[in-house]
Amino acid sequence: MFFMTKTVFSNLFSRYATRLHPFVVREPFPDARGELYCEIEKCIFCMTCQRKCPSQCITVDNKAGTWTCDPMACVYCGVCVDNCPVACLHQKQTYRAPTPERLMLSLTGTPPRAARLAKAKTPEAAPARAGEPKAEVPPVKAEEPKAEAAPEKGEGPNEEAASAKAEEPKLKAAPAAKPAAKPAAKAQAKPKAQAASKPKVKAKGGKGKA
Amino acid sequence: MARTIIPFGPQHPVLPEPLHLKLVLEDEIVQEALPAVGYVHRGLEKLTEIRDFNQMVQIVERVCGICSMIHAQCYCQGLEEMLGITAPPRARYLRTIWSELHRMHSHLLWLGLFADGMGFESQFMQCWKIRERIMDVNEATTGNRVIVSVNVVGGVRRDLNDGQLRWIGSILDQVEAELKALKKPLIDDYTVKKRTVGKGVLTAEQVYELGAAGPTLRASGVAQDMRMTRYAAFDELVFTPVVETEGDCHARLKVRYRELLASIDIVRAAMRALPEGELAVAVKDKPAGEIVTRVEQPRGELLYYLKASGKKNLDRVRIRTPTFANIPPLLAMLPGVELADVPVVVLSIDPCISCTER
Ligand code: SF4
Ligand code: SF4
Ligand code: SF4
Repeated sequence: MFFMTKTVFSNLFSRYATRLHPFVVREPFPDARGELYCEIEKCIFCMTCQRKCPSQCITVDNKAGTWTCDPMACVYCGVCVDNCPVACLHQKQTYRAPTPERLMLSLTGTPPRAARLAKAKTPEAAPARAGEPKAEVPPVKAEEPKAEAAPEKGEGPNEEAASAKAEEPKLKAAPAAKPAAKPAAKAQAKPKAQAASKPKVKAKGGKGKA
Repeated sequence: MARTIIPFGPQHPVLPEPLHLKLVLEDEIVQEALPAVGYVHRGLEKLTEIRDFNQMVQIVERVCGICSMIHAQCYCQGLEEMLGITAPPRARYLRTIWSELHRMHSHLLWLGLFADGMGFESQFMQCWKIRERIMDVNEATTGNRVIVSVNVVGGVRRDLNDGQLRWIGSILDQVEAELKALKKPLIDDYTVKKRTVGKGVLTAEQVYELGAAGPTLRASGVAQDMRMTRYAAFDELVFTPVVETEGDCHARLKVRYRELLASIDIVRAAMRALPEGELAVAVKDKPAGEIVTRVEQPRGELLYYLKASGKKNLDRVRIRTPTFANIPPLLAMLPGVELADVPVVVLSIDPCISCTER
């Protein structure tokens, strides 16, 4: 291993080859496939994404007008993005921040048929929520880490009408309640979740998501 | 001393993957090795019953976490043949580029793990540092680092523009320079030679008889490489297999090291000759028939058997991976080896167990 000594010394006195990750983050590559999101107001509920997704993590209900994705099952392959006929699915350049809880990305929009019916007939006939698409993230109970998640149950993760506001404190509370979560994940999850939810609220897309 | 049986794996500090061998020892010398396969079986082949043939592309990619691109390439290639379509020339070249990049990052990963298996930690880090450049190329050009998901039946999903090609070229120059600097401390080093020369020797007749594949085969002097069957862009690119003759662990190390340099040349040649044109052809029919396709994975010959009967689900997908072919040669290498050398010999076939057990 004598030949290696030179390399070892040059490595010792040169810059680090790695980054101090949570503090120094590389700019994502422009074409990187990251977290999936859906512009629900554009969605026509054609169910193509549900049919094409190889991990079958998307569920589209074209009657109720819901689009649900299990981000934990999504493999970031981008097949749904390529196949969406109205190009309302997109991928961010960064991956999803780790969370200690299993959250479903569930969006509600107006299916074209319901919209047409609403125009033609009485406004009451249309689903009540169709008028104002709202952020809804019913946190699905984590299946495996149930026992660990139990202490924070009272704080409302199970309340159905979890609005975007109610969600933020919960996100904060979740990592804190779990000492097992790595400090790195904690530090990252918080700012990201907040940053991610802001533009969405602005865009009126009605997407709240961790 | 009496015979002892020592379990080697599935959890062993030196193993990157859960290989399980029962080693029958007499003193410190291995008398016999008994394999146990199935620890990480995932039933991916069975999934073809509930996923259609397009979705299977993403599933076969997950057979191997290291050469994912090559699995999908093999699968798509087989289905294209079955459907009677050919991928456009540009797609075939792009597949070649990405698959060679995968070979490079796989070999660099292995060089590092092999060095680690000998206790050569600084070399391990050095190899993985180089590998990271290729991973960056993967992420920047395909969108994902490991499971790149660029193949579809009929072609590819991503393109490379001129800027990206130039950037890949500059990264390859860097990688090449760093690899050349690696030769002395990795190949010619006294300690490395002490650990590898004459360990786990197989002759050309033995590897042929035992059905070895890939570098394990070529290190014993058999010039057999699936890229000689001229799939993808290899019908137009110059390709000569890398062969060594000693048949020991050191020869396998040299084969992989030289293949890395050869892969750089292949990527460069493919980028120079990259034709313009379509990325994919549309698939209209449902596949029907039976087909066997083969490609060269970093670890050797990968074989897909596909059977379909005009439905959207295939009837059968059978995957034979190179590590599966390399287990009998491994069992032939181990008798007579000292226990301390077992990790080196086992790693020398570059075992990929999650491939083998699918
Ligand atoms: S493919 Fe696009 S438009 Fe169709 S249901 Fe999915 S998200 Fe909506
Ligand atoms: S990115 Fe892939 S796995 Fe994720 S939802 Fe889309 S198709 Fe499914
Ligand atoms: S994503 Fe890759 S590294 Fe992570 S657990 Fe899966 S195979 Fe391992």
